[in-house]
Amino acid sequence: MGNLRAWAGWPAYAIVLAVLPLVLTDPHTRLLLILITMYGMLALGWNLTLGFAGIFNFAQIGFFGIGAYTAGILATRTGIDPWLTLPISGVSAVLASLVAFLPVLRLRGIYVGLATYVFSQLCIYLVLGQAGLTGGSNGIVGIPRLTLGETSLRADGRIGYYFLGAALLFATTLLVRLITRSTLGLSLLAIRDNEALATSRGVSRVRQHLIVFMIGAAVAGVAGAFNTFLNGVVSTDVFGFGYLTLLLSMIFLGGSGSVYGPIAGAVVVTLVTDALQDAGAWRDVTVALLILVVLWIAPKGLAGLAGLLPRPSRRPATAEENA
Amino acid sequence: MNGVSAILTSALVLGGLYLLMAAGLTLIWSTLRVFNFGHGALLMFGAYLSWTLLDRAGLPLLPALIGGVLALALLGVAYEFLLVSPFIRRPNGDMLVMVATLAATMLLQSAALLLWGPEIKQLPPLGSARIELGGSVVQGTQLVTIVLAPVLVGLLALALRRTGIGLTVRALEQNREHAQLLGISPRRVYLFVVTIAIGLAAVAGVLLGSMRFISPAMGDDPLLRAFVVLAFGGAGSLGGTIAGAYAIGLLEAVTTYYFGLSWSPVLVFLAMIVIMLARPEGLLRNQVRSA
Repeated sequence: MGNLRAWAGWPAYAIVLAVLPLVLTDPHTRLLLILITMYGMLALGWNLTLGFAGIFNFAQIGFFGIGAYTAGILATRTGIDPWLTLPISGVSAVLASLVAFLPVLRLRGIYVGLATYVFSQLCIYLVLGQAGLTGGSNGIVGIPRLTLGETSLRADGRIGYYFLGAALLFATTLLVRLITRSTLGLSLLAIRDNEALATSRGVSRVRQHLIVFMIGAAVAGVAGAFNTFLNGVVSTDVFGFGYLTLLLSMIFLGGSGSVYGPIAGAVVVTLVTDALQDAGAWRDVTVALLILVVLWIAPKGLAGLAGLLPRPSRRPATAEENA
Repeated sequence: MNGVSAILTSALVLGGLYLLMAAGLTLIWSTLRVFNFGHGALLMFGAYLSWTLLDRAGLPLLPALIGGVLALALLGVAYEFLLVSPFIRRPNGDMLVMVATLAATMLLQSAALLLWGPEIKQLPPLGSARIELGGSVVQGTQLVTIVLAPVLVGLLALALRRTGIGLTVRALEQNREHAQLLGISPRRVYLFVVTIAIGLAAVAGVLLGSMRFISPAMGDDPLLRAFVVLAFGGAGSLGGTIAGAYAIGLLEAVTTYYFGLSWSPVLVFLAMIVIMLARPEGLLRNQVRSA
């Protein structure tokens, strides 16, 4: 029975995702919805390593960019079906994650943060250095649109992109939920909270961290490809500080210790940054202050605030809530 | 011969800049156990403050530069109170400080854009002395960098060994609990360390703003190189940092000379990853880590 109740929210989630664009038909609002699905997916995927596994992974933005460039290069230089580039971008991000994971093998904590941050920055130099393939600082333009049969996904206020984004977000949410409740998820929590004990119980830190690192990278890579087709262009901005801080603000606003919090963070931050679209540098000031204020007064984010509300039914705290 | 002396000059200049950055980061790391991701943005802010005192307030060059460095060191006090001390005791505090200082970078960079606008600025050359070394000329700011960086960091090393506050810093580095038992207040030491580190970053900003240009993103590259220096020298040892800074300066000068500007960072970072894999405690570090 408990199992049934635990899954009851999912159809509701799917229905909300499906109905939203039918209610909100204005093109600008539709674009915001699409961005929310993409950022939600990115924030969820990143939080798997950053919050849930507690790895100082700052390479995620690199995986996102590598996915974006993989899709851009394949779609413009080969005759491949653009749809196929979505999974291929996921795969190329996973391959990149194997390189980025190397420092995690022997380093801990903040050193991993240093090495993975450097990895993301290194991607920019590589893209600029390989100008023949990547277009250098001009980026890649003229990327073909995704179509379904004869209809472009751009038609009718980009409704096609919305449904693609929503499907990807739903799949990512489901994936994250399955992982966090699996033995993999439990072992990740054990490693994060008491590595010595977990290791002594036979949990391999390197193996479990590698698995979650690769899963997170795959999500970011597919999101990168989605971003490429949505915009029609790719530039080194995808590796930039802008995405990095935006996603961090989503994760920490939503609550880095919670599983679904980053989605709430994605919704709020996307709406706030859109409202400040014309404010120029003030927009970045606001996002930065938002991160700091959340860290100061509500380190558990929105999820932590929601936890203060009285609960309708009493049940023992799960590992997820303790996280 | 010309090539060799050009490489050596460039290595000494780059090494000096990275030394000023990395020495501050090392000092913060060894006492506070956190990394300051905002160090590059602070470098940039120091350069802008000096430029303002020189160009807008009309101060002479030297007072303007010193004023800029001091003003930034004061900002360092606020930085410590707002970004470091609120988080350092919390569980997972090192990740919170990392995220907070990343946010501070964004804040400082967009504040610089709002305060000083997008047009690029430059500080004048510092002095007109010139020396000829094996066919290549070293002059002005380059010469100042070559001399000033090791002198400042040398003074810091001396202060850590000889002065009272220096001894308390080292006591805290080596055994935090015991230092507190002896009546050393960590807060006072943290404040001292952060102020010194940020002051050194401001000096690097002034030098860089005179050799190249001042822009909101000018600190990003030096910060990344400083990370590599820490990986190379082992974060937490000032001696290792000095050797690491000049080794990375030399590596960058050589790779730039032979492979060009776009490949040099790639090779430098590859070196860092290899070092981190082979010797996670730093290539030049052989003491036991006091973590």
